[in-house]
Amino acid sequence: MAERERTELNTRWAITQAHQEEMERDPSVILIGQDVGAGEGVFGLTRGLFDQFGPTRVLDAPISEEALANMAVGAAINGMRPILEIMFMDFIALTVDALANQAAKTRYLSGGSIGVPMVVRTLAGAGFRIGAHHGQSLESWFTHIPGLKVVHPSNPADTKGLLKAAIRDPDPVLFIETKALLGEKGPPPPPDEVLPLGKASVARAGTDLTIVATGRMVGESLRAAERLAEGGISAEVIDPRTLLPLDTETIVTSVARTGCAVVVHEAPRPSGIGAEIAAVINERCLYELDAPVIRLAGAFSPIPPGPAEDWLFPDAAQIAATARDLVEG
Amino acid sequence: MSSSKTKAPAVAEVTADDAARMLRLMITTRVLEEQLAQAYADGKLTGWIHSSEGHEALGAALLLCFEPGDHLVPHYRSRPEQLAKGMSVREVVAEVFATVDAGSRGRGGETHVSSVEHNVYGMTGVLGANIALSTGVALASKLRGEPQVTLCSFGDGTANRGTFHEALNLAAIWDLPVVFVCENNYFTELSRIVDFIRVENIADRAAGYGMPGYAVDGHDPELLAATLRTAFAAAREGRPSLVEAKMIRRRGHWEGDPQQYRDPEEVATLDDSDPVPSYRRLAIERYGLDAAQVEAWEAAARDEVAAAIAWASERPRISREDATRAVYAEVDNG
Repeated sequence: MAERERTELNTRWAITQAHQEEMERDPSVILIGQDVGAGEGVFGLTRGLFDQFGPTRVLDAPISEEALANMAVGAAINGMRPILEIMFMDFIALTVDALANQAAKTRYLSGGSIGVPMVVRTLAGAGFRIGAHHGQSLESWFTHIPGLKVVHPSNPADTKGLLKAAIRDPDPVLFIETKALLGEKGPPPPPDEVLPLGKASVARAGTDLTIVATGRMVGESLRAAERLAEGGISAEVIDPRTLLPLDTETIVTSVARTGCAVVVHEAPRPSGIGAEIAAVINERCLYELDAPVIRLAGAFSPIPPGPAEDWLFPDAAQIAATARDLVEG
Repeated sequence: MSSSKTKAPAVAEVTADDAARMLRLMITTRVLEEQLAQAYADGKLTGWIHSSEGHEALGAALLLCFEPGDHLVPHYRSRPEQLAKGMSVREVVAEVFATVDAGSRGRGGETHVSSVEHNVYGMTGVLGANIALSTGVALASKLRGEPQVTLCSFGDGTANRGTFHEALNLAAIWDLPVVFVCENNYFTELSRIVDFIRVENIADRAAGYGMPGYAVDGHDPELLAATLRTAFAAAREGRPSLVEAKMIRRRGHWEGDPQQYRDPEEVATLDDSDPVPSYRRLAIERYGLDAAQVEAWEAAARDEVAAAIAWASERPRISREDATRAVYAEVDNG
């Protein structure tokens, strides 16, 4: 692994390294999931972990998502720091009771005396063209639940630093990876960097408008910003990175300065995280806004298989066109 | 009623002292339910109450099984288990009344009972989540090489949740130190469990997961203790078991349940199978317990429970400010 991290890091290795470093640091960290052990994960995210830590730290689990999520809660209650991998975010539906009712409410229901330091990692988003049950982005189901934290990074360095933070966090964290970005490369983070949860990043600074984007849409928005720059428009791109708690200050500060905002995500528009972000901007920046906040989102439709998938989601060209209309309109 | 797929010892090794402890807990548990039901009927208790009358023998049997440090993952009709685990009448009543003294500090209520001190994790109000959660508690003990057993209890209706099946399988494949106890009290809420299963015993399902299943008379604390001792001993060696305690719910699903689904003839015979007076008779006859002593325990239990209810009735409930705290660790922890 050391050979690979010198000059660049891809997201896949960022995830593996975060596991490895945290499992070395803290013997209470265990990994549970389907095929995460000897098989090293269907996405190859757990390479070497089974060999290094053995079957008592890396547990190959049967297809029993609801029980596994509750099991993680129970293990966390009794002193472990479990990481549960849910292979596709679509299957998170099977764990909702464990996350929303058990993990999220245990601290409250025990008068603050019992914490649930667990991480559920899952892979969201389209890009593999494998249809309706393997490409959804369901983050907003969980950003509505008090007691949970929801993290959704978009580049390798953030993925590593935020996953390490999630594993160390005293509360349950839903950590949403983007399967289309697993091969993305970027600069490696400083050794042992742990990023704070709840802090957005300004992925590109700009002055004419603010684009707030999540997951795969961060990269599309950065490409859109390049196109806009060619036309003389300076776009600031903000990646919230953590969706719950949401870093509203970074967003509000930016929009108050630029006066225009576009919010972009892969999930469908109705009640998506973009609705929350737009509402925060409207509540706090109304008099600084030069135009209504625009949301660009995935189509309100199940995802079809094959190339038809691409029709459903915003891309750099669409983001750039929308931003241009907004600034020049 | 004592049929079982896997044979458990038929005779328990119970001393006169064991019998006295068991009977005393059964008396306290019964008095607690009677007085809680009365408090609810009198309008002194808001929310709801699910009586465990008829379940007393399970708590008594667990008294002989729990070691310090063992874990309990109960359900909403588990006050006998909670008392057996060491929670005081006052602690249990505080949670039923949701006072600031409760484990939840007034954030839980009857169906959300926890005690860090006694390793009781009854936070969930969703039936069946606790079965799967208990496997995680047991997994943590196992991974640390600790000898503690996790006892998970649930009702007959909950044995139809998917979590029951997934959790039993996980416990079996990972050799977890857990004992599952199904309190089959014949009713699943307002319906009969026999209408919802097609096996004679819920314990028979254990075979499908490769673990022993015991169906035993849940009104007999000694038989239950013998079975549970076997199950606890196996659990300490990493072998899980399912124990089905067959009992009869003496009251409604909740207080105020008119129970029109119950056969009046069955209700009329409830006292014939009441586990508390029957063990009272047996303990006096078999172990020579002094009847006057037993009466003194009954009087003491009435006083203890009445004092706890009177105390809880006067204690403050959660403040408006605290009602939305303790959601995250760093924001507020108490």
